[in-house]
Amino acid sequence: MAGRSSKPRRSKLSRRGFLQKTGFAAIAALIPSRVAPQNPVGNIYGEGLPACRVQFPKVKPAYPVDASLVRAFVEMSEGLTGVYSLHKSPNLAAAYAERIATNPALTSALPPLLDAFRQLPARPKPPHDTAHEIEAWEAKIDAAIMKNPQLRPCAEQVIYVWYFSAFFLPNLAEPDTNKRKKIWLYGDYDHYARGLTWSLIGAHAPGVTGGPYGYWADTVTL
Amino acid sequence: MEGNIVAPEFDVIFVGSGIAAAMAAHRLARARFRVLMLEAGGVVPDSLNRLALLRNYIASPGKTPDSPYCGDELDPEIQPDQLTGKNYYQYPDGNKHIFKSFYEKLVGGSTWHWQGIWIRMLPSDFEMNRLYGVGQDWPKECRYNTLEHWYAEAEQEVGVAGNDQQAERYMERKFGAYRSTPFPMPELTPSYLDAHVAAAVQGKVFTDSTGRPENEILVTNVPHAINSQLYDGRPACDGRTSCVPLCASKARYDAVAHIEKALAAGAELRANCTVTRINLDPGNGRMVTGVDYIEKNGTNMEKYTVTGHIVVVAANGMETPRLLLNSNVANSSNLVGCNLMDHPIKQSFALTVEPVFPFRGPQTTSDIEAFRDGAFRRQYAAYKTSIKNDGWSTVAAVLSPRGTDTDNPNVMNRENPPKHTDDSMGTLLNFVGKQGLFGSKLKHKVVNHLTRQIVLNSAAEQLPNRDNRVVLSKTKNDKFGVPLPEIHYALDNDQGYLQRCFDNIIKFHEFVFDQMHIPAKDQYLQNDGFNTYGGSGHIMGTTVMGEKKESSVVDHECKAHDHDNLFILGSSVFPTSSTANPTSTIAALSLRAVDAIGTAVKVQRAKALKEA
Repeated sequence: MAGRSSKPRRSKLSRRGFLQKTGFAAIAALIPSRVAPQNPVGNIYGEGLPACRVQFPKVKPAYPVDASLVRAFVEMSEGLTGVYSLHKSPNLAAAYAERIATNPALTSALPPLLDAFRQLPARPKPPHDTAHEIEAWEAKIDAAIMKNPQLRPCAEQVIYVWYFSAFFLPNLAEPDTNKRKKIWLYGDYDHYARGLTWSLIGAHAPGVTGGPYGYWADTVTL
Repeated sequence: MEGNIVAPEFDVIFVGSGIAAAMAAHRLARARFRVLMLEAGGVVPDSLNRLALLRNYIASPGKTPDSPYCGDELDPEIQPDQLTGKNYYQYPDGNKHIFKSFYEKLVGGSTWHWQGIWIRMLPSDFEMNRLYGVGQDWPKECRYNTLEHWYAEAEQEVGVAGNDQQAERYMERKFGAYRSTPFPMPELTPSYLDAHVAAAVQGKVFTDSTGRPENEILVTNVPHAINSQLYDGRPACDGRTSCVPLCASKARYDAVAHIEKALAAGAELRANCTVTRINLDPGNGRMVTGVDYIEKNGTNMEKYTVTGHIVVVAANGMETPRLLLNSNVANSSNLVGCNLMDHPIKQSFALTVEPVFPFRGPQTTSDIEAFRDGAFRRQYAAYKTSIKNDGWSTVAAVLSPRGTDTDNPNVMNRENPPKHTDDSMGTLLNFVGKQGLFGSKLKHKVVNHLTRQIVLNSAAEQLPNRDNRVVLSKTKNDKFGVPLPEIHYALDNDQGYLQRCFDNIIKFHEFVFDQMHIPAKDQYLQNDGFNTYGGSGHIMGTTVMGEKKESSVVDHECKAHDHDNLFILGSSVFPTSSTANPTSTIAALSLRAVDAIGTAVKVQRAKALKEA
């Protein structure tokens, strides 16, 4: 052994160094257990190393995230995403509602967004769900929500989380509040694999198995 | 503890544990030599189908090539930054272009995030100067016909899937790249998307800027070190479309397979050990005696010296010259660090007329190789065009659908300048945030856009140039006290050789898109010269191979001209870049060097005995 060397300081952290730093700065979650227990698919290994993911502080919402809220959330989500089968995934919907309700940037925006949606007429159901009827209904959503600068930011996050299982929000770990870049904040494996985008286009989330060998040569029936 | 030259601790010390070191270390350990592998990086968690790595990847905001490799064993401070290199690569004032290729310091090296593309060099690639008057020739003892046997052996070792009929009818007849053995496995099934491209361009003739319509287009299967069936205990590919950054199923070969075999054969691996210096004998400096390294254990760092009969530096085209320069070793030619090369990339994007269903299967299954060789190489660089299966996300984390940009400044619509309300981005952020889509219109847009995304990715050869080089930074050291690499790099110092290639690439991309009847409004081309280009991760040329000591660093067996017991493995020895992804040639050269290394060990052992 020839001796011990000193460890120089590093002025800029690499991306991974940054992730590790922010991981340790995270605030513990304070979530009421009012949401139905989740049944994750294949999620038996947790969420990976805490130091390897962006840790966001969670807040206790000022309202109950209960079955009533989740029902309203699903109806609104179907309107915003254009995918009308979300009610078939109640556990996933509850998980997303919880993620929004406990996110410090979104928690206060969710109730007014849900209220605005509740005041709209219900989605046209068969046999009145013609393209024309749907278009007219969506025009009302557009006017009440997407054209409303107070409501639209949260509505966009609802769409992002369903389509990609991620929020796109300013990085709270950046110390300079004026220079916070937006980053994708993903959920766990189960959420990631079930992003709507992939099933809509007949594909799979990158990194998740796509099917038996050679499946990629086949056409897709959407 | 000082090393003992009379009785060194190891026969062979490898610096690095990527494919170059792993394959040679395995063979030498199997031949009962005492082998040590020193790796600067750590050991990644590899169990249970690499789920820990997969979760790291999923959790990362940017999904960059290094995103899965995170944790206590994996020190981020020693890694080049994958996106810009700005924390690691240093540049002098006035440097022309950024070097955009990076690597991973891990046990197994960058094979953790390679695509598995296994393409041999062509016979002409070894004789660029004689045939076309550019670049350099490889040593006479290192030509296609002398390497062919080693290519074949390496293919058996890693498991390569390829199309034998195509190899014979096209690669051999057109380019002379014969095969002495069949591929170990049938080819990877071409994608649905490949079939659409092939139907449009197969047999068509493209007239390039030289005006000679000599290039008949064929869409060909890409040989891969990815299993098309069970091979060597690893399963067939299940098409996760994430070869870069991670093959969780292990269907794609990575060097960990040979490290495990080397360890089973008796080799020793020391991870988190950064070699800082190669030591020379105190006499005439002709022989190396071993290396100094620093072992990092948590926050502790301990310095050690280890001795060996032979030292093999296999630390990639950036770290190998850095170590040699820091040790003042093997550089009587003053060429260590010079001739830095990559395969600069141009990409074009389009929306096909009918859905082609990308985001499925391996990231590439077919390519167009018509422009890998020809008389045009007197005037412009050769290139190879990959047909991508992963939609517009080929520049991981930058483009859709996982990207963070709402506008894409790097592509030009063939008809109109890009606007943030058009479809040039193809990201959810653009659809929702910029175009204001939601509900049924959003769903329609996602389906309509993402099922029609296609990318052509052309990687060009780059000529060796002494001025493109790696030197040691005079101002910044790493945490181990070794100067960081300072890169001097330009793409336009070759009398327009690469620029003319880029121009032809863009014309060729237009040609393919036109043959597919894609309207101009749906074509997005990187038609901006050197403003936009990508790196291939192929770092070559910095310890070049040659016949003469004064004009090269190593001989044809990868032995340093200046030192009888120092070898250098990896793409740093390549005199020219060709258009082949370098891994196949790296592996072939490594296997070929094993005999020379073994012989050198025996010579050193005999000398040591005599001196004792």
